[in-house]
Amino acid sequence: MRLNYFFISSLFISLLLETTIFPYPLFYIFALLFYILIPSSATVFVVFLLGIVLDALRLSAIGATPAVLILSFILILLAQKFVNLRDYKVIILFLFLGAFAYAKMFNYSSNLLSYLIPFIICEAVVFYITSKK
Amino acid sequence: MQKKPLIALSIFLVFAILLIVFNSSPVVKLFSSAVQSVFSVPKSIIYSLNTGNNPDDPTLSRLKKENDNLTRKLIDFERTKRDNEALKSQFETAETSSFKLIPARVIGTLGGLSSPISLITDHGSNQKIEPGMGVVSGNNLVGKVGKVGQNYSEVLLATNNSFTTLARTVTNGATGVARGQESFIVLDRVENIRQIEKGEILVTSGELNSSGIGIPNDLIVGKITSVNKIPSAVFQTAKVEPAINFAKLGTVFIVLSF
Repeated sequence: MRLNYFFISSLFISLLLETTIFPYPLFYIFALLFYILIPSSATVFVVFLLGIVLDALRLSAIGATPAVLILSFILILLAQKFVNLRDYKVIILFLFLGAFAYAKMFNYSSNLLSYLIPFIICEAVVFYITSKK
Repeated sequence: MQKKPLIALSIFLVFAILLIVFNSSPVVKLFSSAVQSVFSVPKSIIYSLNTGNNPDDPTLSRLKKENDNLTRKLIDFERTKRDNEALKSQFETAETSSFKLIPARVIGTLGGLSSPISLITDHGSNQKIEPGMGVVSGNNLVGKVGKVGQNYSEVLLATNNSFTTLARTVTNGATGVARGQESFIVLDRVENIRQIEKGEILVTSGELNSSGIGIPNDLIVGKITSVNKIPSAVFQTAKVEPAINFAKLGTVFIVLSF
């Protein structure tokens, strides 16, 4: 339950930060992490709602972010047959590829090097969570 | 075994696609407008200040609160002062004095941290902002309005890949197309027989659509920093550095008419 709150607040903070002072796909990264670690309908619902809010704040087509995120969730679901999604290296790979594609799609910074910063932070968070379990 | 979550995800996906399809419906517009209004203040605050944690000590907490209030007042004062200065300097700029301008506060950016490609402003269709309107700061070109929401609008900066405008050099009058390249601007399609030099100032040639919306002429785009001229080619190009730092803009002016 605490993890749920952590992710919901992270999504909310990401939403504000990425539409004001930190233009990186933080919301996408946290939404993907949220679904990988807690794959429930409630997770999808929260991500869907906040995704719509993100679209309104970023002036994208309303529904574009939830659509891309749900497609990513479907990919994750299908990939579960072949890879262990509890392995943090696999998670990081998923996040990196997904976020980079998302960034290209939604006009975020395309500088590959600038992605290292959030990914190092995420890797540390995921490593901490997965090693605790 | 994964049928159930897959069905749930498919239902959500259908909802998302329906939202995209009915994007211009009044309900979606109303929702978008409400979200933009609600988030306008926090976005504006985040853009201008960083918040700290409250300590447990009640006296310290009270002092911190007072300090926060005073800081907020100071920030409001500084913001008003900055806005006034921007307004004063904008209306004193002779080149833009005949334009009908509307000041808009920057509340977000898109693109890189130090080199944004778009700005989000707190003015939208409710304030009669339309796509294609020029955006200035002083007599410098900032960019043009891209997407417009009810209360927000996106300004495509002159460095944005989607930005193009007609431009000419001040000294030699060589005309071409200025297009954004993320961190700089390229002056393209300049006839090879025309002379362009490093250090020359590039200004807009002006463009106007049938509704009277566009970019006025003689706004400064930037300074030419290098020229790429191949004798056998039909056109030459030049690299242009913008005249202003877009990442530092707090208030911009949207050209309603000129």
